[in-house]
Amino acid sequence: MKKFLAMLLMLLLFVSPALADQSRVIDESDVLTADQEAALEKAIALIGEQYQFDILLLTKDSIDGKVPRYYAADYYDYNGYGYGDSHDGTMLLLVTGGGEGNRDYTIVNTGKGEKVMSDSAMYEIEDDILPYLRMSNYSTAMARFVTGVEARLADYTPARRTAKVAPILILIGVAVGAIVALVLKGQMKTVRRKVGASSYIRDGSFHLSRVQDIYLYTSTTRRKIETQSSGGHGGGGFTGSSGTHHTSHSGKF
Amino acid sequence: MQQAAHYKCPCCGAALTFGSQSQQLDCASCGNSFPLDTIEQLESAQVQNTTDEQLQWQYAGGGGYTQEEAVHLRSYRCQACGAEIVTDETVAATECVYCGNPSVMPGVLSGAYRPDAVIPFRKSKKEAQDALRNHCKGKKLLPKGFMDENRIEKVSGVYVPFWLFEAEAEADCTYNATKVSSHREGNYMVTRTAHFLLRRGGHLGFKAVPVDGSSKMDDTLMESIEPYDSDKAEQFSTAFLSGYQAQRYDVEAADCQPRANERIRASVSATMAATVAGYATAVPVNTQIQLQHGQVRQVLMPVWMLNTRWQDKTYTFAMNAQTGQFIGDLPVDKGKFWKWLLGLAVLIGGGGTALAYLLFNMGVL
Repeated sequence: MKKFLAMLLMLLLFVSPALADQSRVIDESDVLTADQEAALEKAIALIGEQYQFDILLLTKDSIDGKVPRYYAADYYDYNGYGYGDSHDGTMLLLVTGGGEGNRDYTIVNTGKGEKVMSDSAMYEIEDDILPYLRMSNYSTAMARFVTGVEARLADYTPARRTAKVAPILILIGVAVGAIVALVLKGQMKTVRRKVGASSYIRDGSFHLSRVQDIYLYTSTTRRKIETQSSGGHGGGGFTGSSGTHHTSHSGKF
Repeated sequence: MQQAAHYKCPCCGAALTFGSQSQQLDCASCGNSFPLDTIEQLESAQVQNTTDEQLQWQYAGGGGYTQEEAVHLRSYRCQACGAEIVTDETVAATECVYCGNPSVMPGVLSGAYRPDAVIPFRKSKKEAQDALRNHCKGKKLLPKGFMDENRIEKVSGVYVPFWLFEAEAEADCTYNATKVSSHREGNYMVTRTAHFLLRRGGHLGFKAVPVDGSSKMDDTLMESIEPYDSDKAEQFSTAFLSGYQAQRYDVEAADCQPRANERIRASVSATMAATVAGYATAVPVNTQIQLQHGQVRQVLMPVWMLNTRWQDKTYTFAMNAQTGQFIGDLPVDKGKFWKWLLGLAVLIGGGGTALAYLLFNMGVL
């Protein structure tokens, strides 16, 4: 019942052209020219075809004080974006502030997008697009976002992913092989000098006559804890009101 | 020439040998077994007639032995066949090379050389041979054919002379120790290291730390088959030697002492260090160990020595004939070593990679 009400509310909220033709570039702040919008749509369509992966770009003047990642996730979920049962895809929400308000960005990933857009991948993309966002060069920022996601998708093919883990697996194999072979070799050698004479300690002969623990002094060292200098912060995983799981990174620009 | 002692069966006259199972002198010929003291009493009654024979050193002057060599040689007459047995001066018991009769050399273990005790053989020759087979079993890197092709060249039961060192150790040790704790203060990680000086004093008693007293036996080999339980040692009697080989010591107790001290010190240090608990680090700065009431005993320990030959190399194995502890280095097949190493590398590395590709492809990972 609760879920149904929320869905109804969302449908009312998002009555927009996006629903009709399922645009992937929804420029409500009107920061893109028609050509730029068309170019981005084309790029996203090609990626969608090749990788079965959705990219949604959304600009808003304001989201009325809502939490950007929840707003973005609900927009994605209730408008039915994403490929397949797991709704694979990612989105970039830019709250442009309409000249005076908060300027927020948030990346929200769904389904396979959560794996493709790892924490480090999101940090790299953020570092790449933030300078353009700060200059209000939205078209370049969005174009670079799309290129960035495409590069991560290209890296996420089974062959590329296997190539990444193969050296580690081979190294583990060599290490395990060496340990086992050396243990087996060790079994061949049984002639060894004895280190002590513990077998010949007379039973019950051991007693301590002096136990003294003298405290001397304390030395103290301080080490500065390095904190992440990036402006964005990882939101970790969360579940939107529709019940779909997402990951996100958000920040201000 | 001196007569080699030879324990004869009072029933049939055949040679008697000390049995590891019966712990008596057994006659292989008529099947009788005799307690040690019975035979000894019998022997001493008979020996009284012949003790007038004095120790005679047989110099084979001009015959071939140099004067120097001859000093270390003894010759005896086998009581069974009358042949001459030439041995070196440390051999206390052996077999006649001509008739195989067990012979115990008189006088070799007399005077200062008389052992205080003897640990009798508990494990038989067959058990020693079986132990070699078990020793080779399950060794993955053993060259193919070592088990089947190798020939046991010689199995000999040897009484090896050991010095047993008994001592009381007083230890006084100091350690530099630290305790470490860390906590967060704002943007800083604060680590506090508390320094302590620890002192531990204590007493530890050692009974019967053995050191090989024969220069012919490899010291490392002899240490590897330890420990021996010297509480089970018997009063020495030459009758125990019948059927085995025996040697008298040729390394003085004083020369063996450093090794005993070294081992006692290592054990005392380890025992004291084990009493230091609850510290992040503890480094010994000063370890003083005083050894007192040192006592030395001379004991013969039973060892089965096995020599096998494989691909023109001799492999030596030893068995503690009291406990059955069996040791001896085995050859490593280098090809098998690399097969294991690379085989596992390919199996884990290659198999893992293939599995990863499969799972990535199926979208499971």
